[in-house]
Amino acid sequence: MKTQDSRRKENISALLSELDEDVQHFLQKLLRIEREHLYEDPPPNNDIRSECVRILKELV
Amino acid sequence: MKLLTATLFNFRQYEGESRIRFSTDPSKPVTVFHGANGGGKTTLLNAFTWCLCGTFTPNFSNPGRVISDGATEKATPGETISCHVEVEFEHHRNRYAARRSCVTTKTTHGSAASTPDSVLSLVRTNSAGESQIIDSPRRLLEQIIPASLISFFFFDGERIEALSRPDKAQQKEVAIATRSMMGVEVITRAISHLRGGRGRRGVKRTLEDELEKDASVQVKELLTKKHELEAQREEAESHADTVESEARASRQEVQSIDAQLRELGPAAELQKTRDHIVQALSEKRAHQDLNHTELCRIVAEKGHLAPLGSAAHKVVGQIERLKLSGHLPSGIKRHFVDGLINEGKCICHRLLEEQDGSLQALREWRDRAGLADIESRALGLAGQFQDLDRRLTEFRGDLENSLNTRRIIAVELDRLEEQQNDVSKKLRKLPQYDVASLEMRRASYDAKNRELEKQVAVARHEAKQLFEKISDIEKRLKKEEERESLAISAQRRLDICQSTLTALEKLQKIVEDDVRDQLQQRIQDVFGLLAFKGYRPRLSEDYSLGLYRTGGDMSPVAMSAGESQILSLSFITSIIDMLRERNSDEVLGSRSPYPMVMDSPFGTLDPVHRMQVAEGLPKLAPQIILMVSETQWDGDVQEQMSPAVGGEYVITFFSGSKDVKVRTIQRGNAEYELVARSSTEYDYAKFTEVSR
Repeated sequence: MKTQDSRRKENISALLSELDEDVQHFLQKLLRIEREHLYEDPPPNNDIRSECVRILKELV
Repeated sequence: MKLLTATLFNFRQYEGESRIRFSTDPSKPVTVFHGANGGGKTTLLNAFTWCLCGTFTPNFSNPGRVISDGATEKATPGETISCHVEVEFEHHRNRYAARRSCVTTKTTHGSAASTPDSVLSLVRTNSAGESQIIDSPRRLLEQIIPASLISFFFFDGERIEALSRPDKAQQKEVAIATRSMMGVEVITRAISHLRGGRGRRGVKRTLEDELEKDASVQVKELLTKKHELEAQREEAESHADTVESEARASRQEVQSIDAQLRELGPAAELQKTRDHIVQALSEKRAHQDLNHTELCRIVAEKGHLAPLGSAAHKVVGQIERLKLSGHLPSGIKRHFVDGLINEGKCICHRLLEEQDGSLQALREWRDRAGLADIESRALGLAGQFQDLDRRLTEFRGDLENSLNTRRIIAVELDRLEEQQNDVSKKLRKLPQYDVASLEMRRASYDAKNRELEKQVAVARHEAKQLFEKISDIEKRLKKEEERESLAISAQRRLDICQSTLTALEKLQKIVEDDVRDQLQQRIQDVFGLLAFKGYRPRLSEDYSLGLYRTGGDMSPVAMSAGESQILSLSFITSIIDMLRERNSDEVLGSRSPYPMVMDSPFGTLDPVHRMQVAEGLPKLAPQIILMVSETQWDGDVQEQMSPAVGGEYVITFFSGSKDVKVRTIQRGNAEYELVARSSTEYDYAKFTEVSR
C-alpha cells in the first residue's frame, strides 16, 4: 500500500510541479481554505469566493 | 469519529434514561453488549442510526413507534411524552453532541401517536471548550458520516450480505459518499467554488464580470457568447451523466442475469459459451478502436499526400529524362562564359574579338548554358519529389493494411455477434420457463443499454464540441484583452483561475482513481484474510462489488450468503481501515478514524469464518461496538476477542409475560440478569455495566 501511497504523492507532486508559480500558490491556498471550512455549516460560499478574488488580486 | 457516550431516554424498550460509555482505549477498542435474542440489542443499534440519520436498519420492527411503551403506559391521556437519543463523539479534535428527540401526546385510547416528527440538534465544542449550536445539523452530520454510508458503520451482521448488493441509486450514493470521506470533497468543493453553478456565482465568473466592466464591445460580446456556451455545455454533460448512469444500471442488470444463468443447470453451458463470446467481442472492439485510431493517425500524418496522385512520379521521371539527355546538368555554366566574355580572353589565352566571330560564338554558348541555381533547384526538386513519391507509396501501403485490418475485424465482429445471437436463441428455446424469461429480459436490457450508450456518445460529443467553441472564444478573448492594457491584470487573474481549475480537475481524477484502487486492494487483502476460497473481489468504477474466479477464467461468481457476508465485511473494514490512516497529506488534509458498530457480528457465518473474523476484527477497526447473544460470544470467539475488550455491558430484558424464563449470564466473577420478570405488564430493558 505504501507503494500506492507514494505513487499518488508522486503523481500529485508531478502535477503541482508543472504549474506556474502563481497557480501553485493559489491552488494551495484555495485547498487550505476549503479544508478549514469543510465542516462549517452552511459552507460560507460568498466568503470563500471573496477570499479567492482577494488572493488573486494580491498575486497580480 | 470516535464514539464517547450514548444516552437513550424513553427510546423503545429503554424506559427512562440509560447512559452508556464506549471504550476509547486504542489497545482495547472493543465494547461488548450482551443481550438475549429480542432483548434490545438491535434497538441499541437503531438508537445510533435514528439519532445520527433519522433512519432504521432494514427489518427493524415497528419503526414508527420510537417512544417507550412503559412511558406511554405511565402517562395520562392528553399528557405529552418525550423521547430522545443523544450520541457524543469526537471528530477532528472537536467534541459533538448529536441529539434526536420527539414529543407526542398520549391519545384518549391510551396509546402514543405513532411516527411523531423528530428534531435533530447538534452542539460542537472545540478544544478550547467553546460550544456552538450548529444551525443545520443534518448537513454537518452528512459531512462527518454520510447517511448513505451509515449502514456500513452501524449494521446488523445477520443482514450484512445485502450491503454488497446495494440497489443502483444506493450504489451511486455510496460511491459519492466514499470518495467524499476519503478527502475528494475538498477538491470537489474547490472546483465548485471556482466554477460556480446551480445559480451560484463562482470565482471565475466574478473575475469575468470585473473584466467586463472596462471591456470593449467586442470583449463583452465574446463573454456573453462564452457564458451561453458554458451553460449549454453544463446541460449536455449533465444529460450525459444521467444517461450514463441509466446505461450502467442496464449493464449491471445484464451481468446479474448472466450470473443467474450461469447457475441454472441447462443454461450454464450456453452462458459459459456466451461469456467467451462476450470476452472475444470486447477484445475485438478494443482492437477496432485501436485500428480506428491508427487509421486517423495515418490520414492525419500523410493524408495530404493523396492529391499528388501520379504527379510526383511524373516529375521525377521528367527530371531523370532531362539528366539522361544531357540537358541536366548542362555541360557549361553561364557565369563561366560571362567571365571569359568580360575578360575578352579564351582559356587558351587567345583574344576574343568581334571580327572573327569568336565573341559572338561565346555569346551563343552563354544563351544555351543553364542557370546554375535553376539547375540545382531542379536536381533538388527531383530529390524532394522522390521522397514524396516514397512517402506516398508508404501512405498507400499503410492505408491499405489498416483498411484490410478494419475489414477483417468487421467480419469477425459480425461472426461473433451472430454466435451471440445463436446462443441467445438457444437459451430462449430452452424448455425451462426461468431461462427463457431471463434471456428475454437480458435482451431487452442489452438493447436498452446500446441505445443509451449511443445517447451518451452523442451528448459527450456535443459537450466536447461546445468545449472547443468555448476554448476558441477564450483564445479570441485573450487576444482582444491583450490589446486592452487595463485588462492585462484582470486577464492574468482569470488565467490563474482557469489553470487552477484545470489542475484541480486532474488532481480530482488522480485522487479518485487512487481511492478506488486502494480500496479495491484492501478489500482483496481483507477478503483473502477472512475467506478460504480463492475468489477475488473487484470494485468497479461505480463502486459495485463483485466476486470473481481467479486464474484464466475470471468470470463472476454467484455469491453464497456466507461469501456475501465476508465480502461486505471486507468492504466495511477496508473503508474504516483507510479512514483510520492519519497520514498528513498536504493536499487533502488528514483523515479520521471511524467506529464499527455491529449487531450479531458473525451473522450466520460458519465456525471457521467466525474465528477468522473474531481474530481479524480488532486489528481492522479503531473502535468496535458489538451486540452479541450468548451463542455468538461462545468460547472460541470470546477467547479471541477478550484481550481487546475495554468496555462491557449486559442488557437485561424485563419481560411482561408471566411465562418468562429468567436467565442469567456469568461475566467475570459476577452473575448478571439477561432476562428477568417485569414488575409491570409491559416489557422494558436496562443496561448494567460489567465490573472489570
